[in-house]
Amino acid sequence: MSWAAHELESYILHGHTKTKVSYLAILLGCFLPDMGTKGTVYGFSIFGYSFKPEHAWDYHRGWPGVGFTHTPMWGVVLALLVLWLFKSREWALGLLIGQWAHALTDCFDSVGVMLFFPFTTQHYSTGMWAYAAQEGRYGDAAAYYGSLGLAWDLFWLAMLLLNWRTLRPSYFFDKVYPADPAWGWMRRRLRMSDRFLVALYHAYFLYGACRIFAWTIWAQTSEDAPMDWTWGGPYWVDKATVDHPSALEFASNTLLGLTGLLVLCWVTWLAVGRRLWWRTPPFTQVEVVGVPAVEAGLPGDGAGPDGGADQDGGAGVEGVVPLAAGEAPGAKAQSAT
Amino acid sequence: MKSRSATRTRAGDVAGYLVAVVILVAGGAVFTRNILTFNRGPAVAVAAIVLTGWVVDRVWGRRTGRDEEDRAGLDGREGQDT
Repeated sequence: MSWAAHELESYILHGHTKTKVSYLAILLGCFLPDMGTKGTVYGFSIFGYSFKPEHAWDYHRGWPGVGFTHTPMWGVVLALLVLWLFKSREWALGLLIGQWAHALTDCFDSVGVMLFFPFTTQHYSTGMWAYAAQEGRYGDAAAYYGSLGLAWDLFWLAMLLLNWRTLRPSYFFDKVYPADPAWGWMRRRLRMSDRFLVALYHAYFLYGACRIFAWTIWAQTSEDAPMDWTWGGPYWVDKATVDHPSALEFASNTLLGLTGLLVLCWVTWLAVGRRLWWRTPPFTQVEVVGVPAVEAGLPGDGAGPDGGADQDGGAGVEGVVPLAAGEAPGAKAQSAT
Repeated sequence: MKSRSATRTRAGDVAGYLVAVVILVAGGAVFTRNILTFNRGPAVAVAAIVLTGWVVDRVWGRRTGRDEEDRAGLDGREGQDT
């Protein structure tokens, strides 16, 4: 499994998404596959009962088990649920992007993920570093940061530093804040200052970047874990792998899985997705009723509610910008003035 | 909605981020999971940035006589949705 990569990639993904999307949803999507599963994968004790799967890799990434949480199909299901229940395009799209990124990032360890589940349980893995969750949390940390897992996290840190504009406060206020009502809610209801909001936005960057170095220092000093830069390392851990089928079987599984997933996604879009999508208005910060959009300077006249360029092409209804889910009308009216 | 104070880097911001990095790296290497979890780590970062920033800006403001201007950005009076 990847460690800091999941936090760091969320900023890059938001920076490269060309439509309005919630950063918090991308971050949540990047975490979701491991949020409910990682504790049980490492094992835990409660009221004298201990739980630890016999084969951590099979439980975490396989089927039967919780491996479905690391599949693109699960991301589609979650996005549709969010679109249906919370009526937010920005959150649905963000969750989908984040969850898919998590699944693809985890393809690089020795176990990989079932990319085309439920059509095939074939695992896709590059085997760059050893999957070692069966060694417990600390054993996993020592193995990951004693191998090319460290290089993988540093790669994502370098990518993020190359995309440094996504870390600037101006990017946060221009692109991140206007795309998600959650930030406005936090500012108004929790009375968060600008510094607090920017710190909150930067929190997972700092946490992700710093824990690369903290865990590496810990592994090299406390655990005395030898650094192994070879592909599939480290050599000193009992590496978990999955059975590799023949090339023909691999190709046929891939063809079947890819075709099945594409067809299912297309049918789901036609049957459910597009109706939910078009029924859900894009989030806008300003609510003005009875005023032509051109006069109000609303989306549709090319200018966003914060004065920036609007990327969604407007709300589609002249003079009426629909409320986003969970937004207080008064707060919007106030922000329009 | 962007305000000038929100995008301007102050001495308190720099100090806050430096303290957060030191706590997360040094503290994380020593205390590992007591700090380095997906909820505690970011919480430590936010607390370090906000508290250190607040203290440094107060001290900096008193020395330079710009206390009022800096405090205005901290308590949320600037950068409202306007």
